[in-house]
Amino acid sequence: MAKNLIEYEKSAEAKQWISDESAEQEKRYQQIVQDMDDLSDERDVWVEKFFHRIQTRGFNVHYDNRRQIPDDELPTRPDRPFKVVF
Amino acid sequence: MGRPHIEPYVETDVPFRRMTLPGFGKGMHYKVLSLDSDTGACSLVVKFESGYSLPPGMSYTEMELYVVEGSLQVGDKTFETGHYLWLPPGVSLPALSSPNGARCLMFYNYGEPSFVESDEDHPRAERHKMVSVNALEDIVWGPANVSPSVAPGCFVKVLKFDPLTHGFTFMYCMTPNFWQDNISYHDCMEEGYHVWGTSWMMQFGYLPTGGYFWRPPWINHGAFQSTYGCLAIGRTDSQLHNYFHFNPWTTPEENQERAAAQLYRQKRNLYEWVRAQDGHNHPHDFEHPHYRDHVHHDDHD
Ligand SMILES: [Fe+2]
Repeated sequence: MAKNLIEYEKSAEAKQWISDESAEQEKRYQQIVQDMDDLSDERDVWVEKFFHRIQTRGFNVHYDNRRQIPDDELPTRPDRPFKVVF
Repeated sequence: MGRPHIEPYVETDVPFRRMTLPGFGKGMHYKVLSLDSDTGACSLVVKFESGYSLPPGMSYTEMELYVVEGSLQVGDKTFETGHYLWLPPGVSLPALSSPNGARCLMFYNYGEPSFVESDEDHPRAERHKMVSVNALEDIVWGPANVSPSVAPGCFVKVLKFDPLTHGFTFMYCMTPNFWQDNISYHDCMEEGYHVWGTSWMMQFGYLPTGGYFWRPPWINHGAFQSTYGCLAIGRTDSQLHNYFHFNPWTTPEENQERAAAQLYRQKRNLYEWVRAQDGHNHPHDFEHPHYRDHVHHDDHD
């Protein structure tokens, strides 16, 4: 069995249900995109704090192995929107 | 188009809907956490009213169930809070009832929720694979057994492990004052639901009790923190590898290319074999000769 599925014929009710729920999900998705956009300014502050921590306390390489990241390794922000939802 | 990136989603204040799909009867209510719009595969929060009952029956797709609150009576067994069931497709589950009500998570992984009344297994059912365990009481917490690993203070209980894909379902927890200062992504999908507590991720902010994510491959998540700890259930569809880095602005495409570069460094011989000079070689597993049928869809040979 490739997928854990036994092939079957979808009922009309099932097809309708999937279509209705997909439309609802699309609304939820758009709301998430909006909410995550609204978080942008706060997220920029979090990123600054993260950079500070990995330069002082250290970046988690593996479990409790940490490495302090030197200045010249910090990434520079690219000229494009900072997306977190795809 | 499969399931979209749903993250973060908090279901707590969302109303339940009455389940109207054939077979499930009265007294079952649900909220969709995520849904595959092609197949109907979905992850649901389900509320069973007290007095709900369902005759013996099977599902066409594999189904995973986790009891968040309350209990279920399944045949002569009681599924208390924390019970986890993995029901392979076609396996007949004894009569199910909820004398005092229950709230559960239900994962229908390859098709919409289906229920066919039957007290016998389907001829293709693989009953020996079924898992039924109390995740809170029957299994102990252990460190996440992966390298590179999550930071100290994140513990895991494996509920179901697929030996072919290494996809797994697991409980995870973060201890109070957990922190992990890196950004992670994976080459598998990752799903999670907070049974209790709050964690924080640099991209998505705070995820409280009832918080959920369905995250396709290659998407950045982390750094991570939890002030008071959290308890969650998670799933992947194949082996979980942590690709850690510290660039918050990379795209999924860049992350994917970087993962391939790591594969080239870390599995050089295998990479060279798959990517042959004149095209590519095909995987073949002598233990599972037909498995390729669904890992390789190209027409050529
Ligand atoms: Fe992850």
